[in-house]
Formats: sequence, structure tokens, C-alpha cells
Amino acid sequence: MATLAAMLALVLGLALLAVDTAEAQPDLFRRIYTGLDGNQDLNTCTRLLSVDKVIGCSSPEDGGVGALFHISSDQELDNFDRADHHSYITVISQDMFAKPTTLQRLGDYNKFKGALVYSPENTTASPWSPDDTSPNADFGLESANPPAWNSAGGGFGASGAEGSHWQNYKSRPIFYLTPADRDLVISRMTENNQLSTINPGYPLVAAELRSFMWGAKDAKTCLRRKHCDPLRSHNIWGTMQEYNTSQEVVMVTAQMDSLAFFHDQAIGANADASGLVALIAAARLLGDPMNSAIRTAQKNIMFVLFNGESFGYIGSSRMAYQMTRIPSNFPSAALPLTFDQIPYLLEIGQLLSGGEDITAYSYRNSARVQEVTGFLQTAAANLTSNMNVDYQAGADIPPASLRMILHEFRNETKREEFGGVFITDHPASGFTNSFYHSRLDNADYIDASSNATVEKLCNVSSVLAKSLWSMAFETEPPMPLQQADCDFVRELLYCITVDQTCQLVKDSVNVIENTPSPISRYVGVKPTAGTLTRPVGFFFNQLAAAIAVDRNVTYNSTDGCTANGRAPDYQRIRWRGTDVCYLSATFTHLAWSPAFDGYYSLKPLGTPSFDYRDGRDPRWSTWTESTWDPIKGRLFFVDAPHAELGTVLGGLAWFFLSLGIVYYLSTHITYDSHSLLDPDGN
Amino acid sequence: MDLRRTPAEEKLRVCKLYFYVGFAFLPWLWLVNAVWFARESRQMPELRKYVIWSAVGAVIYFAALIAWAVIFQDKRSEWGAFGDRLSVVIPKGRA
Repeated sequence: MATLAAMLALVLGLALLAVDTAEAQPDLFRRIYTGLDGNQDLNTCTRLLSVDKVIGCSSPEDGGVGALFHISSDQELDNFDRADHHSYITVISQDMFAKPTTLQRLGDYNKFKGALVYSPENTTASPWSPDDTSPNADFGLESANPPAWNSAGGGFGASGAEGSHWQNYKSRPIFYLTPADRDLVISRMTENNQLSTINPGYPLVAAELRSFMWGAKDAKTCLRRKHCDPLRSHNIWGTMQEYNTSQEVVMVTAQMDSLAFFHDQAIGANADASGLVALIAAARLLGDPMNSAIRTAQKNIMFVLFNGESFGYIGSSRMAYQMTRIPSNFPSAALPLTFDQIPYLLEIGQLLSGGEDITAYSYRNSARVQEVTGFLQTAAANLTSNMNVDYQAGADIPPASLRMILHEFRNETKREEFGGVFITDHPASGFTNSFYHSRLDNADYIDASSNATVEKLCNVSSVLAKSLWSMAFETEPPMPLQQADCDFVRELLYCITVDQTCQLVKDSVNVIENTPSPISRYVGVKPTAGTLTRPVGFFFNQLAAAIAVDRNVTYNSTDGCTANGRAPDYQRIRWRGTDVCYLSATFTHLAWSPAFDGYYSLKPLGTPSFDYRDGRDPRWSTWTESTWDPIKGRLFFVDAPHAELGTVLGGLAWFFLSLGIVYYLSTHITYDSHSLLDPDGN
Repeated sequence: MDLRRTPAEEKLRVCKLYFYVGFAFLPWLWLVNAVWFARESRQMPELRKYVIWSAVGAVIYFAALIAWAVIFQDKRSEWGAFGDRLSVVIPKGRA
């Protein structure tokens, strides 16, 4: 008897399990759910934590679930009040999402369980930036009154503040709908009358969004619990001549990373891909064999691409910290570089959303700053017809790595004398970029393929290269090749902002994408020192190729590119698929905030233990990224609550009925002694 | 143990044993002792003090345990690293 009941229970249990797991019943599963593309790209808002702030989004542990409700106008937002279902995932158009009041109002409803954001087809978005009005104001050089550079920004105070776009959206997952997903969602809602009616009949198209973040409270807590990781990646640097400590160095820098509200949408075509492209193109022009005189110039030129700058100048803080430490140990303790060796530093920021002119910002109007701007102005006047270099000395410097470097000096006299200049496209009144640090700062916005855009970047590269040429020599010889390669500028900009499956990328790194997409340049949490992320690997190879001292080193099949034979201070880079190695003084440098120094040094890499120390410089970045459970988004239909209840009650009734029948049978049927079910014959 | 058939000395022996063993952080044993011998203690005065003190011990112990559970749940996140060290399972996504 007991055996029979056990078998029944087993069969029932197995049946339940089979329905529960997708693998066991793929057909049934597929019939119920439609996956959103977000499964492949992390088109979701994730959570980041610093010692005093938490920003971003998280779903509840079991996901945010609700019927879809469309909000593309104030009228539809008002209608949400009258929506009768108990939980909703709202489908919000970009322009409604950009209004801070939209999410504030929705947040007051318990039935609001999450949001899907989309850009309507063929529309121009209104200005929007998820970043602060004064980005990175908490880091590097302190301003008494940080100017509101980014007028399209949150506008509700410091990042993470209630009501800013970077606030902490607790338990409300927010996903971005790719155009394909947008069309799918909108068409399903249209078919089901969910676009035209506030409360159409059941069943309703619904969504389940999972983006559960482990990190909570602050960076200190989540690091201790191993629920988050410090932001960490690599800087790239390279020199024209082999580096030595006795030679002066002209440093030229740009920012490699970008950020966006949605994790994998950090395209940043203007901020800061434009400056990045200009720097690499200028390096290429100076590295051209025709301009080889630069390799015997009095001063060396060092190109630096900083990483993690969007989150409190991580890369520049690390490098400047090592350079100002006593004893300093960048690039190495044996060959240290200090800022006393650097007469000029030129940083290139966003370049493409203003007009033709560029503006040069510096801390003070020192003699060296005047020299730098003089070189820039002369080069601009000689090389271009209509570019002016405006000049803002002593005013506040816009968000730039230079702010962190100046901070690290910890000496006001040194700051004032330093020849550090930041050039960018906007006047002192604020950014001209309407979409700073959002996914809308994309190829369309900067018109990446237009001749005007390419020409402007190309011109800046030429002016930059010519200025560096002038800075490097004491007595300047004529520069044989003065025009940057505009075709290369076009191709590089295209690869970064439109299609990372382009030939230039394929030549240098392993491409896994099948369809054209921009390179997302969020800094990330690369935990080990050995390998580079693909974007960093790509930019490394581009810079290495641009300033290579020898472009035709034979590839050796046994030793590859790593064989010795040249000065150890050069790296050999092999291009994929070719048997040629480049010999180039280009290197990587670990970029992580000095605030986390003990975090990695106390234990071997990869086994982090908590050690963020109080009393570290509060102007250093402490941003960490939360660990998360697998991210998923899917569509299905929900039935009316009473119908769902009916299903459950019906199931229960059936279950007890079955039990009753079995009990009845077991008490009214006698077994004979040969029964298989009851061999003891009891 | 059928109390009706158990001799008085045996009852006393068991009740005493349970009482003393209860000091080994076994409040549940005290509770069982108090409940089990509650009726007997009315007829056997020598049992009474063990039953009463078992009950008192159990009440104090459970009160302390519940108080600690409430304080711990309430203050765990405030205590920071100390709170985490005391925790066997650290909840994800919450302070």
C-alpha cells in the first residue's frame, strides 16, 4: 500500500519538475515565453557602488514581473493611474524616460515593477544625459562651485541623489529595448489592444525582467562581502623614443572609456571616442616614416590613453599617484618618470559637437601654458582655414583627467606652473554635447560618416601633431608630412561608433560579433592583470601600430613576435593573420584607483579581500560594480487574477480528488498474495 | 516511560538528570522536563523544585534567544563587518 502511494508521489513530482525546467520541456517553454535580445547584450541598467553612493538598478531576486503598459506621452502617464492590473512593466519612449518626473511619478505606484525603454523610429531625441550636471565633481581637483557643464544632465544634485537618473532604482529593473525588440514588443501590444486601451481584456502581454544585483549599502560593505568588484582595467601608453629618465617628455592624453545608463550601450561617439581617434591619428602622423626626425628630437613624446576616467578618473589617478609617489615607480622603479620631467601636457576631450573652433583650458595662465596654446594657435592658423583655438586660462577646467593630475601634485605652486592644457569643443558656458554619457551620443548624433565630421577630426589631428612636433624640438626643423590620414580617421571612427566587425578591428583582435555594432567602452572590472579586454586590446594595437619604430619585423614561427633581438623596451605586436610583427614602445598600465591599493596588493591577484581604508584621499574614485545573477528578459501572457486563482484551485481540487480515489481504492480492494505491488501479501 | 508504572525514585532520578543536563545549553530538555513532570510534581513535592527551575530556565533561555534574534536581525547591518562575521548566510542585494 505504502509502495503505491510512494510511486504516485514520485510520478506526480517528476511531472511537476518537467514542467518547471526549460530543458525538460523546451517546446512548452518556447510556447509560453519569448526571450528579449537583452539576453545576449546586457542592455540593462546595472548597479554601481562607491563608499558613499549607490546608483543604478536591480530587480527583486525573482525578477520584476508585470503586464506591459505603454507610456509615450504625458496623457498615457496620467492614464497609468487607471490601469487595473496589479503589476506593470512600463514600456517608455526615450523622451518620456528623459523627463525625471516620469520615473518619479511611476515610483509612487506599487504596481510599477520595472521599465523597458525604447527609441521610437525616425525621431530626434530631446537632450538627455544620465550623468551629473557637473560630472565627476567629487573627484580630482576640487572646485568651490562646480560649473553646470552638462545642462542635459540629471539636474537634481550629485549623482545617486533621489530623482537624478543615476539614483538607486531599488527593485525596479530598467532595460533598453533594441530596435528589433522594440518592434516585437510594440507589435504584440498593438495586436492585443494594449496600445489603444487602458484596460483591455485579459490575457495581457507581460514581461519578466531579471537583473538582480548582489551589492548593497556601499562599496565598503559589498567589497567585504565579495558582492562587488572595484572598477579596473588598463591604461595604454607609448613613446616615440625609447624612454629614459634624462630626457624631457611631452605627454599627450585622451580618455579611452565611456559610460551609459545601460551597461553595454557605452558608445560615447563624441565623449570620448572623438578625442581618442584624434590622438591615435596624430600619433600615426608623427609615427610616419617621413616624419622620422621626431625620433631624434630633444624631447620624447608620450601618448597615454586613460581608462576608467568616466568613474572618477581611475586611470589617471593611478598613473599620477605612481608618478608623484616618493620614490615614484611609473613606468618602473628603475626608470621613474616624474612631472618635473614633463614641460607640456596636452589632453584631448570631446571634439565634435561644437562648431569649427576648439577651446583650450588650463589651471593658470603660466608661461608654459602660453607656450602650448601658442603652438596650437600657430598650427591651427597654418594648417586649417577656419579653426580658432580659444583660450580659457584660470577658469574652471571641464571634467578631464588633467583635473586628477593637478590634484595629485598636492602643491599649489607646481599646479600653477604646470604646462597642462585640455582641449575640447565647447566654450566655458558648458557642453555642446546634448547626450553626454548616454547611449544617444552615437554615430548618428555626430554624423560619423559625413565629410564634415571626418574633416574636423582630421584637422584637429594635424594641428595636434604639428603642435607636438613644435614642442618636441628646441630648434624646429620643417615637418615633412603635415596632414593626418583622413581615410584612417574615417575608418577608425566608423569601427568604434558603427561596426566593430570592420577590417581594422578584425586585423588586431578576435571579433566574436556577427552583426555590426559599436564598441561599448564601459571600463569594467577586469580581475586579472594578464589579458586585455577587447576594446583595450584594439586601441593598444592601434597606438602600437601608429608609433611603431619598425613595421616589418619578420614573424618567427617558433618564437612568434616575442623573440628577443631588440631593446627590451620595445614590444612586438603581431597582426592577426599576417606574418609581420610591429616593433613599438607601447605598453599597458593597470588602471585601478589608488583608494583600493591594499585590496589587490595584500593578496594574490584574483583572490581579493577587503581593504578599502578610511582616510584615503576622498578625491580618489571608489566606484565598484555589483556582482549580478544572470540577466534575462522575456515576454509572455498573463491571465486575469481570478482566472489564475481558478487554475490553482482547480489543480488543488484535482489533486485531492486523486488522493481520495487512491484512498478509496486502497481501503476497498484486497490484494492476493501474488500482487506485484505488494509482494508480502499484506 | 509510563509514569503510572514508574517508581517514585526513578521519576526523581530522571527529572534530576534532565534538569542538570539542561545546563548544557539544552532549554528544550528543560521544557520537556517541566511539561512531562508537571502533574507528578503536584503529588511529589521533591520533584517540584526541579520542575519549577526547569521551567524558569527554559523561559529565561528562550526569552534571551528571541531577544538576541530580534536584536541581531535589527542591528546586523549597522554592526558592519562584525555583523557579517556573525552571519552564516549574508543576504544578497540588501544592507
